[in-house]
Amino acid sequence: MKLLEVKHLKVWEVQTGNVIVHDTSFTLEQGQCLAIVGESGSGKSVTSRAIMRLNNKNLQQTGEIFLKNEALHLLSEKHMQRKRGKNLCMILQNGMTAFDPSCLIKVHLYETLHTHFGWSENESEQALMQVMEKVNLKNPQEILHKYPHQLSGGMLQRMMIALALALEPDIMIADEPTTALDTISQYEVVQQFINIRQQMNCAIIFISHDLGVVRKIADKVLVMKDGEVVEQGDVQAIFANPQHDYTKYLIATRGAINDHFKKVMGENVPC
Amino acid sequence: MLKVENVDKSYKTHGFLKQHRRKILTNINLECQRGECLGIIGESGSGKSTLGRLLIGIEQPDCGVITIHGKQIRDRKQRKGHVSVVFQDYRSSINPFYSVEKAILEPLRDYKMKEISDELLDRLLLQVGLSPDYKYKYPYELSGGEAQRVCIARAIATEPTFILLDEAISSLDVSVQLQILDLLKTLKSEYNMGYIFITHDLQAAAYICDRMMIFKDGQVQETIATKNLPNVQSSYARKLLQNLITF
Repeated sequence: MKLLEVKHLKVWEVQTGNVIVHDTSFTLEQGQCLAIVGESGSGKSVTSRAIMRLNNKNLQQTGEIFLKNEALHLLSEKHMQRKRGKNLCMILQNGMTAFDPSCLIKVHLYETLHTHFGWSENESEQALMQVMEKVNLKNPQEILHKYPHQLSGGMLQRMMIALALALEPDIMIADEPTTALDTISQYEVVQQFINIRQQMNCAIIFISHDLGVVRKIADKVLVMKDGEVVEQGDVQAIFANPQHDYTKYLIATRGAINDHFKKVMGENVPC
Repeated sequence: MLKVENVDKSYKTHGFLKQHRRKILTNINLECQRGECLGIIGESGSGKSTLGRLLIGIEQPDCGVITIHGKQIRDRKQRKGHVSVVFQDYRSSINPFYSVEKAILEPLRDYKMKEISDELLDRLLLQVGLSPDYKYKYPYELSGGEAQRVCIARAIATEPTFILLDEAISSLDVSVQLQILDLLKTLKSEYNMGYIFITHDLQAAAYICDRMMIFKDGQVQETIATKNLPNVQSSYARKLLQNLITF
């Protein structure tokens, strides 16, 4: 079943008329993970925000977006607001700036859960305890009573994933969730995404420029360059046999650093 | 030669009634020769960047000494022109009101070391792989990779003996990372400089470094030559290797 369908999406700047995303179409099935890869400035994030209708006022979009056959592009702002969080959930790149620095973590989380489900503090706490265990956060009580600056980037990122899990969205949009993290927390966050995919029937749109991570998580991949989709298809097929020159270039540059590393490590390459 | 001996560093944390000191670095020793690239690998918050600031002399250690060619690095006159630095955030490390020309010549003008000429500027730009036309541009007109190249041109302008690269490639795209790494390799052999390469990316470090220092909680866990990387001993270094996501 088609969960999300994007048809002829086009995003442009109002003042200059610059087109940022050209005529993009793709579909996402139930439980699937679609990765969007490309260099910075290729329009990956703008595409994902266009689905949420969260782009800046000076960006205009046309095109059709269907979530479970419901036309998102026709909804009023008020109705769209209800879809965000409940049906479409976003995980951002920088955990440090995504939470309100002036209040405890729990304030933010309880407020979100109250808006969507009308839960009391007790109910919210119960639900959060469960999901925080799922994402491997120990001492959930203690973490909820801390300020964002007291937690590490990896923990905040997992906190954001935990909140997304509690909301049980249809689609989770993760915009470069591992880029700002160091090796060990990156590994942990990637493991969480893999677990989520196994345990829940939640579709993921995963935006990243790290092809190593994409290969580990995604089923389908969409390669973007200068706002255009140059290639899309099955992850293994595209990485094994890229058709477009740009995809080849991305894979070759990533491969060069990696091959050197493998040579250094000899036989002992993990994974 | 850059030499660090028994360096400790702590910062004050301001409590309401009492003041604590939080220790960032404990007993650091390292040496880096000219023409060598030493990688400092560690997770965020491990004190890598603090060490970096000590190495270029803009902060002083609590105890221990840092010397360059046997002279104290804390002395501005002694370190003049010997050390340069390239930071992670290329957007904020160039004055937005400066053109590329002014930005690159800034250290030369301050140090009054060399005759400033157009040829010198053109040569520097060509060396970092930019066309001489770039000198009239402003930082906002540059892409991330180009801005980082300008920062590198500025760093090599004084022909330093050491460059500190503090996460210099971490916020660039992978394809641009490779270009910058290759550029750094070429420049190193041309100028016979030493690099201190601070990063959390083990694979990029393996690409450029001769030796690596694995760093955790302000302490050196292990120093190892890159070619011996598979034989790391400490448990943290092993964990780091196991958790790496390769392509």
